[in-house]
Amino acid sequence: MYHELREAANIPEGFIEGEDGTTLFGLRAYGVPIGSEVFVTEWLKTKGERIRSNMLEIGSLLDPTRIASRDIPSRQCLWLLILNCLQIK
Amino acid sequence: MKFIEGLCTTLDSAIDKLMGQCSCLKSDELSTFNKIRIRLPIRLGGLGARELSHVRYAEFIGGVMDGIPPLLLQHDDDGELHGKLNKLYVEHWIEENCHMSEHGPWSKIISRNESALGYGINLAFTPMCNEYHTMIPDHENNLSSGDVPHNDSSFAGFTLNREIKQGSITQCLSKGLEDATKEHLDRIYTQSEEGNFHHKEHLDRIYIQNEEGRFHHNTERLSWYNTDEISIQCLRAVLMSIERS
Repeated sequence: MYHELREAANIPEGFIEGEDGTTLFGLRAYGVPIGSEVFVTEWLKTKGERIRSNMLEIGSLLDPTRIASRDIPSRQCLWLLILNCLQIK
Repeated sequence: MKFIEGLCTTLDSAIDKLMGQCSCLKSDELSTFNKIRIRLPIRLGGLGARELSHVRYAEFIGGVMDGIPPLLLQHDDDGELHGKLNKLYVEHWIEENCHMSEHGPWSKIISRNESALGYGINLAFTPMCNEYHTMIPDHENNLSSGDVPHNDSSFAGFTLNREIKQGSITQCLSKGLEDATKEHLDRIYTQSEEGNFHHKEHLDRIYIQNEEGRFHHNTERLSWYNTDEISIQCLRAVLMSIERS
């Protein structure tokens, strides 16, 4: 069904590389991965890891134990980022 | 839905780690009472830090309600409103005038085994119903036809009288669950105060007595001790207790 619709719409097949180097075929439409189960799982895993590493990088930059200065409210900044940006990313 | 679970867990664990870094409290060290409480919105005395793995069901149903009803033929007082999809296709896919069906707008699509949409609706709505039932055991007796959180996945996102509520359905569903969670916490609190608690509520009793040395982490004891209904004060208390320690 997926391939029938894709070919009818004249959309070329996309692909990503899996963890073990295999090529996984599928597409992304409006930010949603479409294709085989392995493709969707791998795509989401990659995306999740990317977002997670971005979050942890923000956390390490604003680490309250690293920035001790009272003039830089890193704890409060980090908390506001968690609440208003990071948790709904 | 099963694909998203892994993604949500990954992101939730990262948020947990950041929150631990921010407040010097690891989520593993928190009492069960506070673990639930910090996930509640600020208006209910929580910290407003939702778990993605928890709101994903409401998000899915909300997405379905945003996307599907505008495609369907609808009726209003002045006559018919044409949907954005071909009538025949809709009839084959969901059911023409499905929102008028007595058995529920999604009854046909859920009963068709090959429909991924029907499968997803059922998969997302059932855990929400179960959770709601756990939080408020007698809610089925108090259900009204205008409620969006109910127990029939054939009406998922709709009220039991087949109406679509104004505004965000995701918000409506998650708000219902959060209110139920708060009610559940209040019930535990009341039971504990009356001395009628069970083994699983042991930690919650400790929370109320707030005795030094009985918390895993002293910061938790001090911060929640200094907390009132408004969670922003909780955060202030966390920071103050860290400064003191």
